[in-house]
Amino acid sequence: MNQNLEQDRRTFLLSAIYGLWALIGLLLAIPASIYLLWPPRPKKEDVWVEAGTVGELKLDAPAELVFRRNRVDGWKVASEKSTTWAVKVSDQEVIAFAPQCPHLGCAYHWNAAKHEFLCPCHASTFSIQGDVLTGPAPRALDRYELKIEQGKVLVGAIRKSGGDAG
Amino acid sequence: MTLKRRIAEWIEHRTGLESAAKQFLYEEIPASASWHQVFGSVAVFLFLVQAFTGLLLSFNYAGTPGEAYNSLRYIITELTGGSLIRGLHHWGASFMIVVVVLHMMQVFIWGAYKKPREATWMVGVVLLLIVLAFGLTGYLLPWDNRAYWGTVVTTQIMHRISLLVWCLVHKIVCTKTGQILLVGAES
Repeated sequence: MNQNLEQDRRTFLLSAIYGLWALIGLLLAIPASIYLLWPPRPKKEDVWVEAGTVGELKLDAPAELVFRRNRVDGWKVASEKSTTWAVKVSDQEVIAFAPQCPHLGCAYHWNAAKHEFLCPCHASTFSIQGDVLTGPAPRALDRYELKIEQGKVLVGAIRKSGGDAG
Repeated sequence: MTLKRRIAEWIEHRTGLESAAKQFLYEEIPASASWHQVFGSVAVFLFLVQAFTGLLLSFNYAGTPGEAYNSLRYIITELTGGSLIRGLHHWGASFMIVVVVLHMMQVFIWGAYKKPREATWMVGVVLLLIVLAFGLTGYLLPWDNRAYWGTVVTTQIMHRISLLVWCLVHKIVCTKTGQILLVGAES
């Protein structure tokens, strides 16, 4: 009888100890798995970068503007060269196209003689509005978000164009 | 014999792991045992927490002067649960120093270092030094202003000690501590 009581006490204490360890283990394992597996929540802030001035652009003559912008990846901030093909529609309106062909990402250029954008890779052509004229390009040229402040052309993120190609 | 038992036997026969663990876990403890003896186990537990959280933090920490601070800021402000893991590691380090010192005091006051435990005490002294060294190096990892000046102070301490030793070796007139400090300040 006494032996049994002693055995019970021992079993109870052992399970209490193992239970406590399991609890502590869970308390560590749950935050650890959240930390490892949950996606981070990056602080999104709109960053506007000056690409050029309205004054340097001529009406209906797309020009390639080169600027530097910071790319944030986790804790790493890298300054990288970016370009845009900017079209001045009026003194108040400028369109800034992303510099890659929406087909396979080649760098296209403005063909002044034919008055169209030409991609040298697969001969896609685009109008001055960015719409697809010929070639395999699946959609119109992508555009930067853009605003004009005191004559300066400020660009933001690249927005994909809708699928308005035939 | 169940499969689980057979696997355990296989491991036990080759490593002696099970009997080694039992030696610690099922040790006969005198009736006088009490709460004042928990500090050693608490220190071991805190060490395991430090190792675990430190491993987690190392996935997102960059140990270079230019990126350490930014990566820590990223862990704390952008990673989900990052501030919790970092907090556990940060506070766990302080707790560990406190518990280790309490443990040492307990062993000293209760005379637990006496025969036949002198070797245990010596090992403990080495472990204390390792804990203090880890406490210092961990303090420097964020590489913020506090870490930078912590580095300056601790390297200066080592510098002064080396000067003192140099004075002793060369029997130069370094009788006044002020002179040693002056030499240190000039260099």
